Amino acid sequence: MKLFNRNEITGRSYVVQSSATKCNTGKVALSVGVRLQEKGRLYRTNVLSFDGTDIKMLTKVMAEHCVEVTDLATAMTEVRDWCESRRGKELADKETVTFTKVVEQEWPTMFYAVQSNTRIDVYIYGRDLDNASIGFRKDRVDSYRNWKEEMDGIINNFWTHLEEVEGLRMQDLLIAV
Amino acid sequence: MMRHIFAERRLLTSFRNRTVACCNRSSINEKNVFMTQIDLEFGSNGTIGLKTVVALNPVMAVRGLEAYLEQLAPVKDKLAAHLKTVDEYIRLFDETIDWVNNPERRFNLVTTLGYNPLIIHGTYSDRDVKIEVFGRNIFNLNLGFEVGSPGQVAYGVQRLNDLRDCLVEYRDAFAAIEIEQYINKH
Repeated sequence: MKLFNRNEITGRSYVVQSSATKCNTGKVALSVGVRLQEKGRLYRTNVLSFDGTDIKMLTKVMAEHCVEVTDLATAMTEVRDWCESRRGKELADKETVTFTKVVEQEWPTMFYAVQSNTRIDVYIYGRDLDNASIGFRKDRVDSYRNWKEEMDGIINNFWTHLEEVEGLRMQDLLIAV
Repeated sequence: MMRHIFAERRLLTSFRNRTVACCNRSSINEKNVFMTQIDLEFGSNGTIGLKTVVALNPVMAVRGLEAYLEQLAPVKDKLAAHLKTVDEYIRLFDETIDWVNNPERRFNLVTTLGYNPLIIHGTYSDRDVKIEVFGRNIFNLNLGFEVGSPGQVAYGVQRLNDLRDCLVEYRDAFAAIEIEQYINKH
């Protein structure tokens, strides 16, 4: 039974899927995913098997899920801010920075930003991601605008998912098996 | 000027029925661009590659010691950074091999050095050990094996050791390259 299920297509290149599901086998799945078009997905999924009364365990797995999603959103925000802070600057050489905030989790993810004089690119490495990248041309306002819209959209969707998970009532999740 | 190759080696082997090629090469081309790289290629699953390219100007060598040193310093810095990255990769493989011999918990190893950041992610169950490698030009590479089969375990560990040895061999060959000698010749 779906407690919530959201599919959002707002950018040129990504779809956000967010859901919480309970089933009669005693499992709950919390999932948030960003599918980057033709380049794989960025996922956080937690599945918990429980006997319908183990509120402590359920609370624990929900908290872990929230930490992972928060880490992901925070790292992505840092990457976005780093890119924005370098938008108007010229460089003598390539500059790179690696964001590794979320590698400790079950779905390790690494953000890697590279800027040259013409482009800023953000690469996202991790499971099910085939060299996904989001970038923009520094000399094109429309290119930057599209990139900004997509980055903001993805980040906001992670936060929205968190609000939805935190808003779930325990009694909705618990199932008498 | 012809392309001058300092060292080149290509090793073909197989891993879980996929071709693994280890290619390393250091050369200077006709535009005086020095390039050194090592690639571990995994069939269609991508490449773990490390590459450093530096432009040399041999003319500087005959313009006096000051000009020579001025040119050489950044080149040496870049090459030292490259060597450090190779060392870091070797460390990750060492830690992975240690973990495979005693996989008590899942792990994430990460290097953020150079232009090729890498994550090695290990998980295990009663059935198998999974070692996934993520990074630039790597497409969901899995170096794992089934734990129920002693032959597969031995084979898997051996292949990991092979990859590690390829990196060590490259590092040693690379460290022996004498950039100064090349510049002095011209």
